[in-house]
Amino acid sequence: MEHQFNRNNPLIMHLDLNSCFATAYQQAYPKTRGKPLCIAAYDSPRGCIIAPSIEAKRLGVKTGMRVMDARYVCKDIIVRMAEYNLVRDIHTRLKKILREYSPSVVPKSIDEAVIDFSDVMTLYKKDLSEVGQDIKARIRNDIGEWISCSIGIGTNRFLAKTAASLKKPDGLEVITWANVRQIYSKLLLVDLCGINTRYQARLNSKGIFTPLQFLDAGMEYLKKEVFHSIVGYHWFKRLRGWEVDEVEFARKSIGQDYALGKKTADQQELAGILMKLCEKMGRRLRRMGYRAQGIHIGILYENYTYWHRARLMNEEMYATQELYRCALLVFNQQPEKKVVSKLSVACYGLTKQTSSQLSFFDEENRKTKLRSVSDALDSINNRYGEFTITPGNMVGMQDVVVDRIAFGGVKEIEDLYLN
Amino acid sequence: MSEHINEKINVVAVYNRNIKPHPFFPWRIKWQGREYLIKKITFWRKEKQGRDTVHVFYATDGNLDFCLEFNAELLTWTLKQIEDGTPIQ
Repeated sequence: MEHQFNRNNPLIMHLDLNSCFATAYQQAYPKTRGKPLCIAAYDSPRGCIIAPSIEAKRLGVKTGMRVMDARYVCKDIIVRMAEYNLVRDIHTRLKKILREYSPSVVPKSIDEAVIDFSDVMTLYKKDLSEVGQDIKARIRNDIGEWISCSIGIGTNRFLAKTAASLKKPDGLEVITWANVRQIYSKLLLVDLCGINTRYQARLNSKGIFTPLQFLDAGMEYLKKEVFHSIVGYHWFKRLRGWEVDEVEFARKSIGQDYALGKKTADQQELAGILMKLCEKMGRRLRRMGYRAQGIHIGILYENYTYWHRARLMNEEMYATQELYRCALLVFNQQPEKKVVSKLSVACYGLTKQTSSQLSFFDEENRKTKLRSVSDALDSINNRYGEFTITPGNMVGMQDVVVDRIAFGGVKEIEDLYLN
Repeated sequence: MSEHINEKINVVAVYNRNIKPHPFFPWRIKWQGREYLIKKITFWRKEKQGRDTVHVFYATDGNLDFCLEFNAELLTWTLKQIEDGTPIQ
């Protein structure tokens, strides 16, 4: 049966907000509507574009371009920096709307969600496409008239995502066993979610050049000849509409990174940035109720060389000071002090916080006191706002490591920003 | 042009329970000696700043778009940002 295409009713819906950051901005500021607009990480010429508006996309502006390149493409493009809290609010409202339709809603990123209708479809007396149209209308009514989305429906997440990408903006497409060959025939290998140039090269080297050839390849061939692993089996099932991606990953690390606006080799300045990264990381660690055992530092230098090191500590870390001390220890192990363009820090070996036994020794008591102070500082920051009280070496760091939305990382949004 | 202002301003606000989803909204604002009549609230959200709840209104008078913050704890209005939709930063 698994060798055949999944002929069940398509009950998985993938919803993707079109040009999310840009349309959110256009919703809030109507004077920018209907004009080419791009939202960039920084509005300086070398700033990276994170979301062009639908109008800008039509002119050829793409995500990942630099602002100066976008201006070559379109002289009058409006360049703005994102309003992250606005986008977070839209994400939360979207999730609330979707949960009214099904209890099984999985946000895949800030602008994407997967809704599983398997358990509730009997309650609806209409087709899933009509439910999709309802959702579109609700989004326009409850979030904003300028917000549009593309909806894809399929028997698994992969086909739903593929369907959602077929028509943008404002599309609604369904992929079933009946039309799948026709749809695959119009796509390239790199149009399939999960296949990029390297997998494409691998498939090409085994004589697979189109999604149809990929679909027709046998399971054993994909498993033993192409991917040399279980990945081949997963692709075999995925392409035929069977679910293989319904996996929840547990959190294994908490990290922060920062691409420096002004590249520097000044160790004091870098230590300040490291402190702020550790403070942000520590706040998240404590909020989630974890302690960490290890620290990882990654540094991208100006000459595009990369150095990283991880170290497992003897003791668990909880307070920002503990994290910073260990991070600095690892940071100082760099073989060369070069100009840094990106700095990242992560803690791993996470364990849930449990009450620890009181100790007779001074060192343990000192640590307990430090952690209590850390909790007290967190309470003050919760009450009066983020960074009301900061460590001394974070002075003058207001404009660095600013607020950002991680790609894909949406688990903490409701906890961190809205409650 | 988009400009960050961050200035406390005078606002005439309205509460009308029949208007959804935000029955409370700014109606007239006075900034730098000029009065602006708000024609439409394009978006409303609230956020926490510490323990304070701040209501953020995105509004337009047809010529200029405004981002206004109402601090529900201190009862203050702040003009955060203006936008006129031109490419100049």
